[in-house]
Amino acid sequence: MPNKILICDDDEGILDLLELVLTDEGYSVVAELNSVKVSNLIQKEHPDLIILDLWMPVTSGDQILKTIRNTPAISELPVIVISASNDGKAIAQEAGATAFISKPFDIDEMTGKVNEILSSAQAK
Amino acid sequence: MQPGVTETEEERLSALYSFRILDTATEQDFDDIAELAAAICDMPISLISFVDKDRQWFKSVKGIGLRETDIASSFCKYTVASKEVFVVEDARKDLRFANNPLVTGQPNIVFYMGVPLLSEEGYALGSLCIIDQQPRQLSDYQKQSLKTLARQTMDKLELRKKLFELQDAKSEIVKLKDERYIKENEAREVIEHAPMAMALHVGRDMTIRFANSRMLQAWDKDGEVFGLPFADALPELRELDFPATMREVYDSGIPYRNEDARMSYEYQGEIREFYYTYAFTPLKTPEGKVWGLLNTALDVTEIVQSRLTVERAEEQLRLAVDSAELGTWHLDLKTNQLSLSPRSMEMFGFETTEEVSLEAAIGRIEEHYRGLVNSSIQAAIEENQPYDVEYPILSSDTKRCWVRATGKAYMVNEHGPTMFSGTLLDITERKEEDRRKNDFIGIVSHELRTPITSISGYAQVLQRKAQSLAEPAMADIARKTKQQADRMTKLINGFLDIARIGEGKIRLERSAFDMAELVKEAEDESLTTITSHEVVFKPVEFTPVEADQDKIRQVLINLINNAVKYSPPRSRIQVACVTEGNHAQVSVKDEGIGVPLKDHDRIFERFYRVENEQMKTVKGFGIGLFICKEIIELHGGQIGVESIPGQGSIFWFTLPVIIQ
Repeated sequence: MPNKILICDDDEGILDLLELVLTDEGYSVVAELNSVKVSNLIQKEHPDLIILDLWMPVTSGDQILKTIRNTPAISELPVIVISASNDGKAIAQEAGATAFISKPFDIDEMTGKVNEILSSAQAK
Repeated sequence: MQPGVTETEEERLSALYSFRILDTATEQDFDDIAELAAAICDMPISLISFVDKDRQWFKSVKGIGLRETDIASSFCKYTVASKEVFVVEDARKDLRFANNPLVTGQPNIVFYMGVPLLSEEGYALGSLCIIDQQPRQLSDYQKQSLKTLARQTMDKLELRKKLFELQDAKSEIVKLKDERYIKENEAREVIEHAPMAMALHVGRDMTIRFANSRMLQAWDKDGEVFGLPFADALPELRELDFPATMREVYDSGIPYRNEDARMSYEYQGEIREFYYTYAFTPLKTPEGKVWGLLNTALDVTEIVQSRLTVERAEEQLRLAVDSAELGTWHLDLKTNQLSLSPRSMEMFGFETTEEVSLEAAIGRIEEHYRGLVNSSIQAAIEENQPYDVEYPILSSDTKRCWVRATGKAYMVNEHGPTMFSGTLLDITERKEEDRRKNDFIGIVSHELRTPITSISGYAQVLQRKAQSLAEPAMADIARKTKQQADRMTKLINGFLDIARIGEGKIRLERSAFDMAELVKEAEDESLTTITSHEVVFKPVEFTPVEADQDKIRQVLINLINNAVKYSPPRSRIQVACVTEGNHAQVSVKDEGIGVPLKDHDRIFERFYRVENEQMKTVKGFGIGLFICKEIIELHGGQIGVESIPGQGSIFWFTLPVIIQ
């Protein structure tokens, strides 16, 4: 069974791109525009990895990430934070991101990072 | 006790000395008397002898060659002691003289007769004596004649003495006259040569007794005014208020003084303005009655006028500074005392009454700018560079005030400048506007990134798909699309950087690291990315710095990329890092088109680009070096360029090294 990746970004273009690329890469992808729904989706879909945009309306990526890290059952879940903001890296690291990729990103960089994280998670 | 030495011997000697005869030259009239005495008595030897304390001295000598003998062999001392005519008829047979060397040897005295020379007071000073080398008898006539001659001698002496006394009296009179002259003129001389104008007035009408040349000059008068009442002597001053003041002082006896008093009166034919510091001092008799006034005046016209000029200039400057709402500051480099104008205090958020040290003022500057301010101050003081720096002040917990500070160090002595002064301009509004503009740029840039991420990503996907479908032309188009998207990304990143700098948002994340490592990283990177040029990295020694490693790397890469951009392919680029003093200096040397001298400073300005034919072919916005400069200056370093157009450039920057 392919690994499942949950992606949340309020920009449809990015969301579609990531879904396309990662599906091509052989992953099962759940893409969500609305950050408010992420918590439910984690419960429902049990993703192996989450990709979160940082700046999203209502619930920001770092808030979601902090919630994940504070929830025992999923606190170890790998999370990649993506952002177009230069301050993003520091915020993501503070919130407990597994990795940070700045926008615009190279899709090789993105798939490389995803593969790397998931294979090391598998090794465990 | 020897004969003749009595209790009054001292008085006798003092009487003798008063005639001032001893050791004088021979004189014809005394010699005539001795000659006459010898002739009258028919004697071979005659003497006019004075008996001193331990010798007898001869004023006149006839018949022997001596001018004096010791007192022991003296015959005359017997004459003096007896105060009467003293006769020795045959010295050889007289016990007192038989062994006398003058008897046993030359002049072989046998007969001696001395007549005392008695002063008016009765002192015997010496004797007129006659001597023979054989026994003699004298007639009464001869004895009488000798006594007369002795009196004559004494008269001469008395006359001489009177003459001396007269002379003395005369010189005493001269002396007294001089003293009186000095006394009379002392005051006048003092007044004449005093370094101020002085005049002496007597009586209630202030008659001018005397005025020195300075006062006469001030009045534009000459000595003709002496003796005239003040009002008659100086009618042109009648209108001024001080004649009345003088009378008041005269009447009250209370001194009066006025400083820097302005007065205008007719002087050398025209009405002129003067400033005087003057005083009227009442002169009183021992009983306290005022008899005159001492008028002293110092012409301070030039001093006051130049002071007024300075004051006016200061006032104008102050008005200009105030109307520009400029704050001023002044740092005494000897005492490190900082003075801030009220406006400056306000900008810094200090109470106007506070004492403020340089450290306290710098403590109010936002932390990230302190390094920049400190190094700018240092450069201004040590290298005499103009001080011009912009920084935000946290004047209170909530209030942030942006200022532009300018200044200059001056009054240089052998230890460097002693003063450092300048102005503060509140540029908060301009900065606010800048911030809004930068916010706009930031938001726009940020918003642009998102679609570009998609474009770039889709292009990559497209390229992959085209490759897998063996569509090379399509794959190439996709690749080119991605390339253009990447270029756009770089431009947007540049704008974002500028927006951040403008906002003061560049945060340095300092850590201690070795510049050698950083240069090595740049080397590794350039080896993979630069194939068009030969980039040579000189070995770097251990160079510890405390800086933001990413940003310094960004600066170095930027300088290397610029060198690549602006120098011909296959030319050489040399990168070096050396420590000089307490700074590490990193340099990037190329063999490119170079930078004209007039652009050396300006190329570090935002959006500045060198304008010439060669540059038109090179793409760029003119923000790279601006960002480099901002980063280096935030670190307290410096950045610059040395270049000869056509031959190449050396771009360099410095960073403070950690002192081990």
